[in-house]
Amino acid sequence: MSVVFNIGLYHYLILALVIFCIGLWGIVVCKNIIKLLVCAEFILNAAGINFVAFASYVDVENLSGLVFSLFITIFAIAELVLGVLLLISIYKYKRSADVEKLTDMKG
Amino acid sequence: MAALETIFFYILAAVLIVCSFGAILARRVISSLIFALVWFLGVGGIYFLLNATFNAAIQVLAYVSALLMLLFVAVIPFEKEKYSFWGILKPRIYISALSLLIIFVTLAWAIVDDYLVHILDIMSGGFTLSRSLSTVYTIGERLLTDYSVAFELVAFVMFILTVSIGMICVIKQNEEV
Repeated sequence: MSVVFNIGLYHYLILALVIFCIGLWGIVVCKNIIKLLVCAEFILNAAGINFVAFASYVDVENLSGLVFSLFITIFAIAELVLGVLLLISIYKYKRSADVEKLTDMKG
Repeated sequence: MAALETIFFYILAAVLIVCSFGAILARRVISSLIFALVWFLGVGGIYFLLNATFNAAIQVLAYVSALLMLLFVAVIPFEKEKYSFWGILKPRIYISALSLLIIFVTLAWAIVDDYLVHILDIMSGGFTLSRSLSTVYTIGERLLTDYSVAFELVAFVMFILTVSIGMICVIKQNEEV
């Protein structure tokens, strides 16, 4: 029972793993571009949780994981903004956010 | 204190798992984004539990503003149904005020929290404890020493990205004229 009630590093790692798997499943299942972007954010944030958990439990002196988590957040936001811009331009052209209809670059 | 941490961890974990399923399975994109908004706040809570208060503040600030932008720029204008509720509320005024309030509270909280740790440490008689606990201090120190090249690189990439988006907007505007 102490494993359940004493929260440690492994609890956060398992939570991040669950979120990562749900995000990956969402990328496979979803057809809407916005939902795909959100699922990509889930995956990136799962990695961020891992970095922060390791920083808090293992690397207590330097906290390098926090810096990497900040970098992940910055790049994730940049990716989200670029995705939205692409979405708007695609929507003006196709009138749909369904990825299965975007076949113009198919070889 | 440990029991409280356990309770908060399981509540946040449940919120994260339910909201991630909700964001994927919701039929409407707006519902999906609202689930995602709650999800990002939950991740901020997880960071807070891990004593990463600065990261929690940045998480809440960055994702809440990005998702609100996504909601008002990319989703609501393309929805087929009309939202009279938003019209009554005058979203520009209330949402901007709310965003500013969130920005102020989270940044102020991060700074005050860091300062309180520092003060408590000085009162207890040592400076080493505050160095290990004060995340704002440590992140700032690491960004300007070990990770200065990476930090500058990210800043450069963000600068190029901002300039590119601005250029595209200006070119598009000139094309329309």
